Amino acid sequence: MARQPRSVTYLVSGDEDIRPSHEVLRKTNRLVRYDAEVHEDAAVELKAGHGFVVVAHGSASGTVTWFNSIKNSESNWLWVGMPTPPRGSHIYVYACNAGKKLAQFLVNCEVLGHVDVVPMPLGNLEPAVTSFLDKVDSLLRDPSLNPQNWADELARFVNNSLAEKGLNPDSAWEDVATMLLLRRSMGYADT
Amino acid sequence: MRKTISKEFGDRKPRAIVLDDNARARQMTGRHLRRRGFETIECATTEQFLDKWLPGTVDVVIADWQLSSDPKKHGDKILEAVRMRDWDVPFVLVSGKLDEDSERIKILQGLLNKGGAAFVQRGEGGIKKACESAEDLMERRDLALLKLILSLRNAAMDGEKIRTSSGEQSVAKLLESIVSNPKTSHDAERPIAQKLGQP
Repeated sequence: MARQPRSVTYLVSGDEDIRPSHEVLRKTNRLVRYDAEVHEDAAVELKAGHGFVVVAHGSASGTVTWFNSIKNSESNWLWVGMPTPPRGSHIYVYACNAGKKLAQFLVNCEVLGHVDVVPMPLGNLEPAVTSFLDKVDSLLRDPSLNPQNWADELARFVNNSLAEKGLNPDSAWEDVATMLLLRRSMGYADT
Repeated sequence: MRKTISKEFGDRKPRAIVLDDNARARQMTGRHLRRRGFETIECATTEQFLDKWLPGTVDVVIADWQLSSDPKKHGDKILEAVRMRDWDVPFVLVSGKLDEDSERIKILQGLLNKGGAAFVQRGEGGIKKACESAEDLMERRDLALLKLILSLRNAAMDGEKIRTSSGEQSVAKLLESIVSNPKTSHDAERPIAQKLGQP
C-alpha cells in the first residue's frame, strides 16, 4: 500500500529582513508557523515523521538562528554540536550557507540545505521563489524520496527554469536572478 | 555589425570599451564601432578603465598594448586583470610596435592560444581589423551565457539589489559571479546551454 504524503510546515524566523515572507507563504495556502509561534527548542518543534521548511538566517558553520520578536532576541536554533538534535523529521533548510554542515550533523533526520545565499519570496522575486518552494513541497511530501533525490530534482528544476526564463529575452530579470542564485546556492549540482 | 551578432542583442546595442591613451586612435576606434552599431565607452587610462568596466556589462574590450600614462601596465596585464573577473569577454589588443619586440610577439602569441583574445597590429586598416576581430570573437561566445548576461545587464547597471536571507545582494555582484567562474558558468567544452539541458 502506498504511503501517505507527509505534511509540510513552514517555520519562518521573525527577523525584520525576512518579514513579510511568512505572509507571502500563507497567501499561497501553506501551513506557516512564524516567529514566536515556533518552539525555541528545535527538537520539540521538528516532530518526527513530518516535513518542514525552515526559513531563517544561516551561516556556513551550519548554524541556523531564530529571531523571537516577543523576547526581542536572536539565538541559535539548529547548530552543529547541539546537545539534543531533532530526530526522524524531514527538513529543508531554506537559509543561507548552513546546508552542508547541518545536514552532515543531523544524522537522524533527512536534511537538505543551501551552500550560498538564498533569495527571499518578496516583491518581484516572489513568483520565481514560490515556484521553487512549490517543488520543494512536492518533494518533501513524497515519503519515497530521500535528500539526494530532492537535490537531484531541484537541480533539474532550477536548470529547466533557467533555460526557460534565461534564454527568453522577454523574461523578468528577477526570475533569472532568482534561478541563478538558487543554482549557485545548491552548489552547481550539475558540475 | 554582423547579423549573427545583432540578432542576439535584439533592440539593444552591444557595448564596447576602448582603452587607449592616444586620443585620436581612441576616438577613431570609438567612431568606427558606433558606426557598426556598438555603444562605446572610451577610456584614456587604466584607472578610468577599471572604474568604468563592470564584468558582464561589456561585450568587447579593445585595448592598446602600451599606455604611456602607465608604462608598467602593458595590455597583457590588463587582460589578466579582466580575466580574473570575466572569464571570456572578447578582448582585442592593439599593438603598434610588433616588429621591434620579439618578447611582445611571444606574449601575444600566448594570448591567442588562450582563446577569447586577439591582437591586431596598428597601421593601415588597423582600426577596421580590430573591430572585425572583436566581432569574430563575439561570434564565438557561448550564446546561452550571453542571453543570461543580457537578461541581468540593465538591472546590474541600474544598481538593482535582491533580498536574500543574508541581506541584500547586488545584481552586479551576481552577474560577476557568473562571468568570473568558468567552471561553474561556462567553458569551451561544457557551454552553459548543455548544463541547462539545452541542445
